[in-house]
Amino acid sequence: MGDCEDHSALRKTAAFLADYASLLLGCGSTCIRIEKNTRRMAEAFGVDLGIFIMPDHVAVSVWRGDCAHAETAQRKTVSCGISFDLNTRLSRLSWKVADNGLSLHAALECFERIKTMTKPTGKWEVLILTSFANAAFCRLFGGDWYAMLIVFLSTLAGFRLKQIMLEDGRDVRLTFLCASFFSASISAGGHIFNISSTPELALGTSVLFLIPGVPYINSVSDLIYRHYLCAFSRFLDAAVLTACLSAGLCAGMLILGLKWF
Amino acid sequence: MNHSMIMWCIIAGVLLCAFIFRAVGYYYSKSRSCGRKATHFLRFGREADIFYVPGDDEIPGIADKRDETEDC
Repeated sequence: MGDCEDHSALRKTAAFLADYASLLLGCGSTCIRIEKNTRRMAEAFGVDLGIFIMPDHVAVSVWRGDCAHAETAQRKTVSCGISFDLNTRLSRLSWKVADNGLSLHAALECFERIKTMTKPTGKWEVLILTSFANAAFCRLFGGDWYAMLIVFLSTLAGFRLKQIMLEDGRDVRLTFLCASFFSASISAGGHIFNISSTPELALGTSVLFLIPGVPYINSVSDLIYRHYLCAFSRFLDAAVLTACLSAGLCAGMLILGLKWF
Repeated sequence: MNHSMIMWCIIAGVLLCAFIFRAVGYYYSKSRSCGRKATHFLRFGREADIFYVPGDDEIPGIADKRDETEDC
């Protein structure tokens, strides 16, 4: 293979792996998962790999033998939101490349198909199931049936508001603040109208669906594998969202005149 | 009815109105994007419209204007 052809192939491989890594990072994967998957595919393609993961960018370098002739591709993190389905499909692609010896061209085709694939879960199913899950949380903490019903309805309203605002492209922090405010306010109906015997549990659990659990868990994973910058970034993102959630909850309690303690 | 109850009703009402307006806006935009015009009981029409029979290929008096009702 000529030198020019080799560089062209390396450039295409680097571009594909960078696109792959940026999408994987965007859909909420941990840094160690990104490293493992891209390295697995690079080995299958017969190239050496160096990957540099930052919170907003990914840089991938590939070379054969001499790293002085490496080709580097840098991509911005795709902002597609956390998706376990996308995560699974991308991981499966890396295994297909490694186990079945998929060529770069075939892998690219498969990757494009995954990118254009629509989400498998309907928003209405997610809305209903999240509401049931939050109501179950209320029961887990000792809430009675009325409190569960209140939590179900407040989650239904808050989560739908969140869906609408995110669909409209509103800022995610403002979305969290509004959703927690309305969820908390509606669940405070238990206190105000004396409906349940455990209204404080209904109020407390009504905003639990907004806790950004995945970024918190991922930040711990990144911390363990010494990706400190990504860990810190993810932790701060999650902390800001939690602060917005708390502000919305406090605002609701303040406006409705509920006692803090 | 005390202050808390009034505030709760206002907040719930605002949220309900937001959902209703959103649903109405969604169905309105959906019907427009489908190419079907919203049904009006009374409206102003053009003179040429009275010579148009639904099912005709072209709307008389309007160049390159075709019947869009069948696109749905």
